[in-house]
Amino acid sequence: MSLRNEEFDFFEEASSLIYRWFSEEERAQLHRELSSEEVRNILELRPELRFFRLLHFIQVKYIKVEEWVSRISDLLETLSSKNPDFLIEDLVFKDVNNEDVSLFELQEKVTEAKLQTAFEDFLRQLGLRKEFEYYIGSSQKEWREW
Amino acid sequence: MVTKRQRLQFINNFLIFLGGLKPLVANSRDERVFELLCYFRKVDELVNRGKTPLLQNVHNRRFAPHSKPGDPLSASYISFQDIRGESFDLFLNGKFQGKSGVEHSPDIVLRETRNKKILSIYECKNHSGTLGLSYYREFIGYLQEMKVQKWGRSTTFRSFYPELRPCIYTSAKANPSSNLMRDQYDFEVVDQL
Repeated sequence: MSLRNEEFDFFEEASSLIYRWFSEEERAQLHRELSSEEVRNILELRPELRFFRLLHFIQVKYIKVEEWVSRISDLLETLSSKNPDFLIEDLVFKDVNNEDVSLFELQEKVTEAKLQTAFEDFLRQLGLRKEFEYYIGSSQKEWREW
Repeated sequence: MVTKRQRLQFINNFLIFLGGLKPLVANSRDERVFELLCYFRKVDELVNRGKTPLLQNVHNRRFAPHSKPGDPLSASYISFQDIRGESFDLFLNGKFQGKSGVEHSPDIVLRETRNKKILSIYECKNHSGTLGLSYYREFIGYLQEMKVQKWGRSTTFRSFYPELRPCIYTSAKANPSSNLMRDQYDFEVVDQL
């Protein structure tokens, strides 16, 4: 993928905008992930690759949770339909602040927020939906050669 | 034609939208939800392999597993019985002693109820990008320390019970170079969850 100057500038600025928006904790997590991929600094990545890598981080951190809670809920329904004694009315876990979180309450909120739809609309607005899908579906090597 | 300035504005707007969601996913909530997804996938797999699930330590139908490492029997978990009457327990975030005597907490552990032998471990890696090789190396270390390596009794067991194959569940892409490691150490990777 060879970029025109304007595209190059866009990916540079967009990546920087997103990166600056992350909290300290999120940046630390991102750097841990990158270092496991043998990338010492996000700036080592080409601007377009950097941009899509940041979008993937956002997708996993913020968007996927909608799909995950809905899949858990489906699994619980399937399990209780196969085994009548398997009845779970709520699933509760604690966050790092030791606060109880009800999975079904969380599901209501994230479903209402329509995260996946919002993310797809956003990619469409940018005109980069296909490119993001290609990034997700391809290996690091393919991307580097794109 | 959308200009660069407009596209940057779309990004700004989207980040504002995401800012409102921070409380929903912050404080590792996303990680806990991911672990629960992996846990119930495994429960479903075991049920599909003919095992009957029994809820343990569930009060008022509220399933509350450990969110941080703790005594495996002191939070909600699920037991399974197979047709031969053998019983297994599937724990989330339990603490277990390794071969060296050190305590560890693999994310999900399947253990025999009677003699408390660990049959398999499953790790949940809520990551973006491509899962780095260091995580595979760490997992192989776990297999050895928790005595669930390929060799010995487990090999025979796993040929009859593929659900006992250790596994890394991840939201990231699997590392293509990890295939050889998976074959050598007999584990699975379920990626892009």
